[in-house]
Amino acid sequence: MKEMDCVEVIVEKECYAKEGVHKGMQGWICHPEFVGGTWLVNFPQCGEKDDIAEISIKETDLKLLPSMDASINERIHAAFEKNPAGDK
Amino acid sequence: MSCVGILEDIFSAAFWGDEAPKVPDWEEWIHIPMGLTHCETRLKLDRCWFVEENRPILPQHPRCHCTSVPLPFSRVLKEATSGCMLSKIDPYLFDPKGEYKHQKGKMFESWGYSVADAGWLQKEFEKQALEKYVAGEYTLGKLDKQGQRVSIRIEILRKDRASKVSFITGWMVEPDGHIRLNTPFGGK
Repeated sequence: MKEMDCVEVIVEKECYAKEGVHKGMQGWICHPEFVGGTWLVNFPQCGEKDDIAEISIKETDLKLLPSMDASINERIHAAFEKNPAGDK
Repeated sequence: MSCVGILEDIFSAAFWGDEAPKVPDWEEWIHIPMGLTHCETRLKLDRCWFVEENRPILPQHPRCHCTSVPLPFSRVLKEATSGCMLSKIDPYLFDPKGEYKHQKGKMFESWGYSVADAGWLQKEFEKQALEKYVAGEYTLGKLDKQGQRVSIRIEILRKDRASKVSFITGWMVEPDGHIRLNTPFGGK
C-alpha cells in the first residue's frame, strides 16, 4: 500500500468505531508514512459534507481497492446513527 | 514557498500608523530520550513548531520528558515551509477518472474551477496555509503515532461571481517548521 491508494476497512473495532469508522467504510491513504504497521486514512463523505474521520488504521485491517465510493461511508454512517448497537 | 502575510500586516500597520498585529510566541517541541523505550507519538512531535498557546498538552503523560524551547519569530518567518502534493488536487480533489467518488470536484467546478486549475490551487493552498500557520491561525487536530494534525481554513475567489468560498484543509505538522497537506477538503 502507498499514499493515495483507496482502501476499505475489513474489521469492526472499538478503536475505529469511536472515531465513527466502521467495517465496510472506504477511504484513501493521505500520508506517505507507514508507522507502527498503520496508515493514516481519510474517510470522506460526498460534496461539502465534513470528512467522517482521518485516523491511523492497521494495514492488516485494510483491503486495497481499485477505487472508492464515499456514498458507501454515508450509508454506513447513517445506519450506525440510526441504530448504534444494532446489526448493520 | 515564502510566508509574507503577517509581514505585510506589520509593515502596513507601521505605514498607516496603526497598532501592529500581535506576533505569536513560537516554540519548538523537544523530545528528550530517557531509557530504552520511546513513545512513538511523542517522537513524532520532536522538533515540531507550534504557537505557545496552541500546542499539544505538555507534559503529555506522567514522567514525560518532553519540553519546549522558545523559537525566534524571525526563524519561523524565514524557515517555515508548506507542501501540497499535486496529486491531492489532481486526481484526488477533481477525481477525473472517478477513482474517489466523493463529488468534491463538482463543488469546485460549481465555483468555476477545473482540473486545469490544479497547479494554481496547489500553490494557493501552500501559500495561504503557510501564512496562516506562521500567524498561528490553525486548529490543533488529532495527535497519534502518525503525528500532529492541524486544520487550516483556505479561502478562494469564486470564478463565476464576485464572492469567496472557504473550507477546511487538513495538514500534518512535521519537524523544522514544515506542514504537509493531508487532505485538500475536510469540510466547510
